[in-house]
Formats: sequence, C-alpha cells, structure tokens
Amino acid sequence: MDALILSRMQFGFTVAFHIIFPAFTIGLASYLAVLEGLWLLTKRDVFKNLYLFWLKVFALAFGMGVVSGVVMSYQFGTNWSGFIAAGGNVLGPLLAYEVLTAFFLEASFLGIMLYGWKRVGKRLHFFATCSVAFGTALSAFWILSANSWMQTPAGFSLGQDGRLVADNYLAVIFNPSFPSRMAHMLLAAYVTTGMAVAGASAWRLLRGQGGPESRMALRMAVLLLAVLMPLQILAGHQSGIVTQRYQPAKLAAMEGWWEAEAPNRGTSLIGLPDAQAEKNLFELDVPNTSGWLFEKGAKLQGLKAFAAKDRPPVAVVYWAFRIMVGMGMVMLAIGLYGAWLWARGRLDANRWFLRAAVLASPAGFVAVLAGWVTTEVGRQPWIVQGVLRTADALSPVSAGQVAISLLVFLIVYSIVFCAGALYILRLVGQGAEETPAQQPAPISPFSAGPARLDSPA
Amino acid sequence: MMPPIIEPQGPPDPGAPPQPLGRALLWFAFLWIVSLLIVAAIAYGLRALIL
Repeated sequence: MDALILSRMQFGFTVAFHIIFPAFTIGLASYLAVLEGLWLLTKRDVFKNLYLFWLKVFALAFGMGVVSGVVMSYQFGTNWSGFIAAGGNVLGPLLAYEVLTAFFLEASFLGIMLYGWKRVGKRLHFFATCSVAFGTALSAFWILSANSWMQTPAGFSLGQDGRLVADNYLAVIFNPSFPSRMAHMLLAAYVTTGMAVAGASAWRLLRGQGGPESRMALRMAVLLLAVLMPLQILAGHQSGIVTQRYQPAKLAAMEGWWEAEAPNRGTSLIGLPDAQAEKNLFELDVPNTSGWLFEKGAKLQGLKAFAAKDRPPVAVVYWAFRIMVGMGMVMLAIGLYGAWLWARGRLDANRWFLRAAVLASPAGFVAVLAGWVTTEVGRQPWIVQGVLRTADALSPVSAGQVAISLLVFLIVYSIVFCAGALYILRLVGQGAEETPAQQPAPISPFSAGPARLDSPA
Repeated sequence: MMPPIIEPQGPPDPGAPPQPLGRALLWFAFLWIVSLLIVAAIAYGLRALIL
C-alpha cells in the first residue's frame, strides 16, 4: 500500500472514532435542555434525575470528542499539507469560527452545567444548558459548512499561485449542499441519541430495574424517533437530489447505475457491483422509480458516463449507503411500533419490543458512520469536488512513515477510546433511577404527576 | 458499582432561599471565565506542540 491509501485509512479511522462522540453529544445536549426545561415547568424529580444522569454521559462523551477531534486537525498538517496549501485560505476561517464561536461556547458553559446549579440558580443554569445545546448545533454548522464546501465548492477563485481564494464568504458558507446536509446531520444526531436512550431505558426495564426514569426516557425517545425519522428520510432524499445535481458520479455509485444514459432508472435494493466488469453481477431492484424520486427532466448519469479515473470506489459507496438506509428503517420501525405500543398502553411490558430496542441501540451510530463513508468515499477521487484531487493533496510522506503513525493510532485508540466507550456503556447501564422501581409510570412528559401503570401485553 | 468520574451538582434544595441575583450572576461569570481559561490553556498548550 502506498502513502496515499495509508493516509486515507488513517484519516478515515480517526474520523470514524471521532464522529461517534459529536453525533451523540449534539443530540444529548438538546435532550438535556429539554429535560431541564421540563423540570422547570413541572418540578418533577424524574426529569431532574434523568438530567443529572445523562449529564455525566454527556461530559464524558464531550471530552472524548474533543480529544479525538484534535488528532484530525493535526493530520491536515502532517498528511494533507497539499490540501491545506491549496484550500486553507477558504477552509481555515470556517474551522477557526467553529472553535471561536461554538467550541468555546460549549466548553465554557459546560462547567456551569456540571458544578454551578446551586450557585447560579435555576434560570441561569438553564441558560447555560441551552447555550451548550446551541453551541453543539453551531459547531455542527461550521463543520458541515466546511465539509459541504468540499462536496460542492462555491464562492472562490483560483489564484495565480494555484491557491484557492474566497471571493464571497456567504457563498462559501452556504454552498449548494450545505442546507440539506446540515439538516440531515442534525437529525441524524438527534435520532442517534434517541435510539441510544431508548436502548438504555429498555435494557433497564428488561432487567426489572426500570423505574419512572427509564419509562419516561423510553417514551420520550420513542416519540422522538416516530416524529423525526420520517423527517430524516425527507432530509436524506433532499440531500440525494442535491447530489444528483452536483455530484452525479457519487449518486451513480450509491444507486449502482452503470449505463451512461437511461430514460428511466430503477432503485437497486440489493446487488453486487463489479467495477472491473462495469455491471452489477446480481441485482434486485424496483424498476422505473426515478420519475418520482428525482426532478422532472433530471439528468441521471451512470458510472460509464465518467472516465474510470473519475469514478469513486463503487462497492464501498453502494454498500455503505444501504447500511445507512437499513439502519434508518430499523429506527423508523422502532419509533412507529413503540408509539403504537404506547398508545395501547403496552410499551413497558412488551419484552420483544424492549429486546429489539436494546439490539437496535447502536443503529444510529452505525447509520452515521455508514453515511459519512458514503459521502466521503463517494466524493473520491476528489478531496475538493472537481477542483483538487486527493492524490494531489497528500503531504510528501513515505508509506513507511504513515504506516507507523497508523499503527500507533490503532494501538492508542484501541486502548484509550475503547476503555472510555466501555466506561460510558457501563455508566449507561446503571440507569438514572433514584426512586423505587415500583412507582407508577408517567403517562406523558407533561402530565402533572405519576399516573397508572401500563397494562401488560 | 463503578466509582463516579464526574458527579454533577444538583439543583438548589426545594426549601432553600434563592440566591440574590447579583451573587448568582457573579458566580455565573466566575465559572464561565474559569472554564474559558481552562479551555484556552489547553488550546494554547496544544498549539505550542505544533509551532
């Protein structure tokens, strides 16, 4: 393997570890703001106990997200100096704004969230919690803007020295793919957290340790999944339409389309794309769906419309996309079925549903990882779509040097982050319960007090 | 049971008298600035490693 593929593996490995934590903390920060708001409104201990419990998880995940994020910015200099030399003028300010406006907001108010409740009072503490939630979303705003610019670059010109110069920063920030990708990622973070909370609560209920906190958390998570998953599907679809306009080769790889031109395309449910043979060896598809999936008159190009050197690795993109969609469907099913069980008063007692929720608890994380693989591998061979090739962005490093640093990353991450993730998992397993498990379950997050127990299935 | 790494502080006790607003704001500003300084110190420490 050469230095290019090793550097890509190294960045992919470190970013995959990193993205798990922000995806969780963006959702958790908003969940904490909702919990504290509900506690202020209702004064019910169940919300306070849930808040204090998930705050510990948030703080740990936030810390691990920061540490794993720093590693990536170092790699821009060590492994991707060609990228920073060419595009640093455009991207540098976006990353700097992320630190100045968002990260400092999150990190500085986190101290008040953790240790200031008694000292600053209820309202100022709530303000701090909301600021952290806003900060996490703002952080996603800048990072998504920077990454979206790499997918659909706009608002720049090429200088005489080969460097990219920003002409219009509003066009850089709000580049064509940014709005749909921002919505898709924020919703992904919320449903990922919702699924994790649902799984943790279901685990406690299955073990007979679930009290009002687990029951309330399960209801809130199920409601969130039932409402947000359909919106997430719409956001993903909109992102697909933007991809069709600006990154047709990526869309062709996602869909497994080979023929350069076709009046109508189908939706490939499952197949075996073969890049050598330039066809799908096996395929199960729904024919002629493009007419209602894409805009009228949209040009739907297949991979053969592009030179082989301009195509992304099709099998990786094709399968990563299906894993993401599959995990999304699992979360949609959990949300809708859970809401149906709740309406029938059988949510806590249906052990098959609880087992399914526990099994599906990592579904959001898997979907986020698969989605990022789809979009990043799908952009290849470009690091900035149509402007700068990944091969031209590499630092002058040898394969041996990158192999050693990759090995060090593998060892250190295996120890540090796996230990941290295991600690968070064990903490989550302990649950938020402080009150007796036999206390009646709440009917809804807004009910004034304990109500009836759900009837058994 | 695992020993806690982080033990967040809960809300004021239900019967406790509320803090005077000025005092609460001073605590808010103090905790905010201390947190900010800690983040800045870590950030500049990391920056020093690469420059």
